[in-house]
Amino acid sequence: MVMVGAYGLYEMAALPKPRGDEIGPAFYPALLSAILICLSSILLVKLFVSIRKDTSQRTVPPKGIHTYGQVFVLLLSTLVYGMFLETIGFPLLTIILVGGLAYMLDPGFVYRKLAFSLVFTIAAWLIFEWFLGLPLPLGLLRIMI
Amino acid sequence: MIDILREVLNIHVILFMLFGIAGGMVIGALPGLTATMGVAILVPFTFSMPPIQSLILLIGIYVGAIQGGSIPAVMIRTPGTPAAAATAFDGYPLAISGQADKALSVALFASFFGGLFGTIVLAIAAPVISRFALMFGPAEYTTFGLFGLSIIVSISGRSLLKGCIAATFGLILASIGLDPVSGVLRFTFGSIQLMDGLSFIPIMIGLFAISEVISGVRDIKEVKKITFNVPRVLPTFTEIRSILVTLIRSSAIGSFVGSLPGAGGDIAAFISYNEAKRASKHPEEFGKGEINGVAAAESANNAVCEGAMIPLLTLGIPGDSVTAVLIGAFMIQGLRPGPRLYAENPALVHAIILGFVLANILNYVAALIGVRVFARLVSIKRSLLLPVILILCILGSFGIRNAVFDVFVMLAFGVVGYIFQKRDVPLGPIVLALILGPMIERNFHRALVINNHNPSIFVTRPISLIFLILAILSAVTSLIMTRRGRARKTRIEESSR
Repeated sequence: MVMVGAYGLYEMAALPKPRGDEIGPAFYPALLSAILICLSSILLVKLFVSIRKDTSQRTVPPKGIHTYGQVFVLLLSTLVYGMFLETIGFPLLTIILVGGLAYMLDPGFVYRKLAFSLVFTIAAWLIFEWFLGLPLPLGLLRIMI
Repeated sequence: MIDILREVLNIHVILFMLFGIAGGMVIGALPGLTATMGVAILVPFTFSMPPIQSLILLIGIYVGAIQGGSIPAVMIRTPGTPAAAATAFDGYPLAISGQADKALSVALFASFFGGLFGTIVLAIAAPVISRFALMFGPAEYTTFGLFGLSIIVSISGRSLLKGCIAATFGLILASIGLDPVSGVLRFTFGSIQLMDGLSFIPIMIGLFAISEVISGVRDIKEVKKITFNVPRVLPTFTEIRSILVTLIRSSAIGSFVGSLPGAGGDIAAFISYNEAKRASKHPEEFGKGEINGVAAAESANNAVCEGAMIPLLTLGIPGDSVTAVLIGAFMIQGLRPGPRLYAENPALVHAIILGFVLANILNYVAALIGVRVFARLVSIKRSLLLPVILILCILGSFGIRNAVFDVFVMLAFGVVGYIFQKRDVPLGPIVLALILGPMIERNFHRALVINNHNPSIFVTRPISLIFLILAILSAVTSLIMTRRGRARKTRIEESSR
């Protein structure tokens, strides 16, 4: 947050001040950036003091690398899903993502998970298309159809 | 009025509401999914709907989720929503003693009563407050915005400093894009998408829903399958008579607490529970399966829903996190909640109030019919649920402008929200700042221009000065109330163990 505030001040310093406007567009964000730096610095000091005081052992064991890996896969797959939603299309991508993530989170019963992702995709498609009136991108399926 | 009735009692509107209620009850019945999250996910999908239908759908979700939260609280001692935490104190002991039906029937009836009571308060209070708010100028709006920001104190959780940091961060985010007065670009990094500022909905979905999905993946654990017998769903006449006073007192507390910006259902439920216990002839029975405990918590947390709409509809300030998210639904429809909404679109406001009446009635009927099904939802596998939520989040963000950029914004704020949650930085102040930031900056600038750049305008205009004083008072009293409430919560939790 200190870095965010510092960047805010740096960016606002470079902004031009329009004639006739004494306050200018930089005043408000610069003021907020300065406040953010002050508050974050106080928090940093408080954290530093509390770390020095706290000599007790950690009671909660840290999560394993496997869990961080799962979170990473989740974020990456969301990114890929967003990037290719229009080209590959909602149906194919959703079946793969829902089925894949469900399997990653709870391995086993591959066909059940595949069936679940298929049912969900069709249900979501129908709800969006007919109930909400929001067409979802078909992508590759449009070419195939 | 007849036109509004016809519009609200339309079959399409009722179907949308039932859909919302069912969805809300599912969300509420699943521990870990909150009403805020449910509304946040569904807001983007309402942009193709007419305003009344869209708002009524979301009201259904809101009311349904708050009521649904009581089911797992009673069945597995895990509140579905934070507002149902106090319900578990007496609901669960009743359930394990084989009286789950008694606990659930009282909880459902109390929710229904609290909801209707809150709607009456909303209908009476809203027009009075909105007429007063029409007298505001730029100086008043600026100090009023500051008054709105003062609720950060009550929504900051354990650390006020972190709440202030989150709010300042939110205000900086709100300043991205074109300056409202000079038109100069700020923090856009040369991106065309950022010229209009960051889109509110993807940020909201990221902060509230994606962060929960990430937490869910990290802490994935299956809920044990539990089967409880629920032979009856209606309370007996004797039960209703024994809880009537508690229902009225708790609903009044819920409506009042809900109308205070920033104070949510959980605070109202704990205060009402404490008051019910204090007023009881048998306080020692509380925590062991006293139906007045269930009634107090449930009527209060449902009355909060309508109470929280009072500051939203009249002043444009959200009463709780769900109503903060609901602002997105108004914005999608090109509406701005606040005093002008009441003056320019009274039909919509009346439809919302009628919508709450209808939502509470339908919610009760739906709950009576479906409580046995909703009770089974507590055992749904997280491994199936999380990917589904993720897809809905992506579609919600993508669907607003058909822009992949918004999906990236959602994802980025999901990570930010997750890190903030892990570090105990509250997310509510960010959303509040995003809502109030543009209003404060625009009016601050205008007020200074009107007064030749002399800031005395903020203290020389009476209403503006009143708001400044109120902002200080609100911050101080919130600080005291939050500390007392926390102490009371700890006391109640300790005594119920």
